[in-house]
Amino acid sequence: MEVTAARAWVRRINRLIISLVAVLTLSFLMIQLIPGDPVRTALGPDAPQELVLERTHQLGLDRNIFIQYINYWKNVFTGNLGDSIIYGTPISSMLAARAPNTLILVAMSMVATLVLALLGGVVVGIVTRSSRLTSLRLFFNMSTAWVGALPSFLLAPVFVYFFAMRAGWFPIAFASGYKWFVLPLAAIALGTIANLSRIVRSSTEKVLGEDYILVARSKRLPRRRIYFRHALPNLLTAALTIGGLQVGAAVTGTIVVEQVFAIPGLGQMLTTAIVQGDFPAAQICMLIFATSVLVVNLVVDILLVFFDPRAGREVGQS
Amino acid sequence: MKMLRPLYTTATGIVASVMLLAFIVLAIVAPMVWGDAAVARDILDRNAPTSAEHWFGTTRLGQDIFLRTLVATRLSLVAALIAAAIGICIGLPVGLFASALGPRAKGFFTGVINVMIAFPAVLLALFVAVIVGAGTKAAVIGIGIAMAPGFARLAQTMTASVAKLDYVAAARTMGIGTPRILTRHILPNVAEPLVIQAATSVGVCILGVATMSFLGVGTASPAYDWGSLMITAQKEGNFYPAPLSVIGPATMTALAGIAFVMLGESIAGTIQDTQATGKVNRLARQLRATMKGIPQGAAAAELAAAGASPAASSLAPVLEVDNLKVAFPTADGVVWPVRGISLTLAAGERIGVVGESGSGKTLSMLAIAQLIDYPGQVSADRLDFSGTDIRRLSPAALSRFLGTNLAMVFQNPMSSLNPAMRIGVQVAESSRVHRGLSASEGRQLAIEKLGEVGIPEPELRLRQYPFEFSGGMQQRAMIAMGLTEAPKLIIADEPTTALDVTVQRQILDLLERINAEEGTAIVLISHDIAVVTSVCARVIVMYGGLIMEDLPTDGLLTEAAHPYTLALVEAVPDTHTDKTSPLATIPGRPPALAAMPPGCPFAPRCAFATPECEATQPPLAPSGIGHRVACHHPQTRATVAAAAVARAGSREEVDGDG
Ligand code: SF4
Repeated sequence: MEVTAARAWVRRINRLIISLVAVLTLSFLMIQLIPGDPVRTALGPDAPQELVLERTHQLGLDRNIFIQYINYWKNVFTGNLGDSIIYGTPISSMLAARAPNTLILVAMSMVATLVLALLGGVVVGIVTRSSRLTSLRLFFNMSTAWVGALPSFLLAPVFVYFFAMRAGWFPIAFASGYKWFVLPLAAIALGTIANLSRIVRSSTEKVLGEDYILVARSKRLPRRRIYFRHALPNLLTAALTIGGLQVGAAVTGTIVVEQVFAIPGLGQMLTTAIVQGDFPAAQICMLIFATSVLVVNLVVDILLVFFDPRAGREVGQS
Repeated sequence: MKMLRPLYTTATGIVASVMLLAFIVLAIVAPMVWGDAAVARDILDRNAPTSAEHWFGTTRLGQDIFLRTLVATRLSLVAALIAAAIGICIGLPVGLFASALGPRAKGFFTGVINVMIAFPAVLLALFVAVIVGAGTKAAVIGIGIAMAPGFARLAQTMTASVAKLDYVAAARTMGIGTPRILTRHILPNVAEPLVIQAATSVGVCILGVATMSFLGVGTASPAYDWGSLMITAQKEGNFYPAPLSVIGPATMTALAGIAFVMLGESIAGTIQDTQATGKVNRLARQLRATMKGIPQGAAAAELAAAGASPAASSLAPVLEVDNLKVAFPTADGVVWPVRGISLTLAAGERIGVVGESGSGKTLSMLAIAQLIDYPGQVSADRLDFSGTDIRRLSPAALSRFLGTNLAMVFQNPMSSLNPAMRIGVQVAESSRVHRGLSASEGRQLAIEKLGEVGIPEPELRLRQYPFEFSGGMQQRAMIAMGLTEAPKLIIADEPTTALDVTVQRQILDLLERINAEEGTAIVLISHDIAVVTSVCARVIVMYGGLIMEDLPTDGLLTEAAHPYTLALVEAVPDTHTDKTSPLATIPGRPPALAAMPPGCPFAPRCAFATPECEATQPPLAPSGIGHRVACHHPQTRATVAAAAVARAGSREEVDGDG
């Protein structure tokens, strides 16, 4: 057993490494694919030719592509990320100011999603199992479907209107302290919580109909034990798999709310960089976002092996 | 088309179609009617707040934002449709190509698609925007490309499922050409999933394209779509005087997205019919009230007078059941799978319950074990376990009482063991919960019991998970799990049906040995009378939710009197059967639960049925020592054989005449 689990982890980590190499390579190629002279495009047609050449040299874009690729690897791993093509400031200092805001928003919304959706989904699933309280089930399915379909760019301004402008409970935009954090987090996580909890509820109902739950009942175990010891680990597989996929929605939501609340974060840095053609900055932001999506999915995969002993074997077989 | 029926027959479908229609009309009409008004500037009325004249306020140039929102419908929808089309045009061919690859390449490809699907569409679109630069084109191409992995996976699963279709192979062998196979056979099968995913992804594209514009990397002035209206209003400070300047276009986007997603869902039929379950709940409430009203009967009254003792008595019968009924409310009314069975099981006795599926044998045992789950309802005039009326026990006392005295083994050991728990934990669990054993005591007990049921190396096996056990070993573990509390009764429901023939005998031997060594009474449920007679001293034959006959195994060949029992005996190939005559089978099928005959349930299939049989249900009456039978016209093997001969004769006559 321990051997299969270890092998499963090795496989997963291998997969992550391959994906990371692919992401790194793609983010490198991204710049090569830009048609024309990207530096010229960024600085505009009026920029003096010397400046363009100087920046091109600074960025190493005048070298052989293989050397550029190797340098890119070196730079990413040494944290020497170069300078913004527009501002000429080091990208690493831009990141230092922005990355924490974004990463905290993404991480917090993931934590909130997993905890609240699991809790809510399991509780409602227990209450509505075997067609009890059909009206509650219907209400839950409908409301989570609707809330889950609401985009952050709608939720965020609505929240601002009601809770910041009218009620005045929270600041209307990024501010010092911790209060500014509440509305963006809610706008990101409400949808993911709704979507995940709907899935958790239906898989709770499914798990509670399994034979081994009947067996646990025939052993007259206390309900708490049946729900938490027997049912929960079995529905975590589905919940975590779908939960991991929610990181995509959380990243998108974060990029959007940064725009609404004027939060200095990676999303804003990325979109500004795209508009201005500041591709070295865009490149690094893409790299960070992509890496965090991959890493979250790996963490979920590893948790799955931990909770579901079969996961190890399935991977071994495929 | 049948596929589109839900669009006008289900509530979701109707709402989705109406919303879609409204959006489509708006997309066509709005730019023609309000196109000019939406760009008309009113210098005197710039950045206006919400008013009767300007619902969503006005822009910095004094343009009416509400009209702009209506006009923007066209660009927003068209952009999304193009994006979805790009996704289909890239995704489908790539997926089809991938499904033609070898297994290794296909596996790699599937892995890549899975990683891509985990990536948010907006992030992929931003990647494209870096390369082609900000603009509507970037948003549409980027979101379109982001849709492609989903369609590639769809193409893969569709080709896999189509390849499995029998008629495709059949059509091939009949020499039907490929184009015809494609249009007549394959297309209708793949059209529905394709339409569903296409509709859903248009919805996703609407949101995606709007997000790109909202982030400032999509549509930009002078063109405008919903996303760019939002960001412009926010940047130009329209939000505070007129919050609808942002919330309005955002709501339009969300509604359009939801309309397409709902369209897909209504075609897919994922929205469940809840009226049926509502009726089930109502019936369940009624049943609970009426079934409580069923008089408890003389036996129960006596017991109450005597003052039932909660302690399990070793002298009392293990089980005394009188008039046990199980009812299930369904959408079509109440069905009664168990319609009043009575039986007594002495301590240490082995009885077999035989019947076809649907005879009520499993449900009656679950009812005895108090395991019928909602919405099912149970009633009985008497339900005593070891001299204790278990219906009178408090929930806590019942748990302890049945938890330690009754063990159950089910048909499929693989699904009966919890896949996420180690075997040892599951085996020791009852004792740890009910007797408070420590972890190490539980371990010792598990090792002991696993060894007892013949699992080699129990110290190692108890650390394993169920999937690491063979089917036979899993069933042994299930039995070991039941034995930890030295129960008075084991109910085994088809314990060998899911197992290999070679293993079946071992499990039955194990049950016999436990009965002999521990004196545990055993109820063995099976559809196979041969399995039952090889283990049990007594056989109970069930049919249509009733006991038809209850007799000692020894008397099965000599004393069986019920035509159904006799037919079952006749159907077993053994040394007693006449090898020259074909194996007897019972013509007809068991009655449906919803259409139970008023009289004898076996009457429709019985060769001896009379009008009396069809009218009144025969009572289960004693007929000799330890023998009960429910039949108006009891038979013997001889009379059954004679009747068969007579029937065969008359059939020949008829044939001869014709
Ligand atoms: S009661 Fe009548 S119909 Fe039923 S088994 Fe006996 S003879 Fe046949």
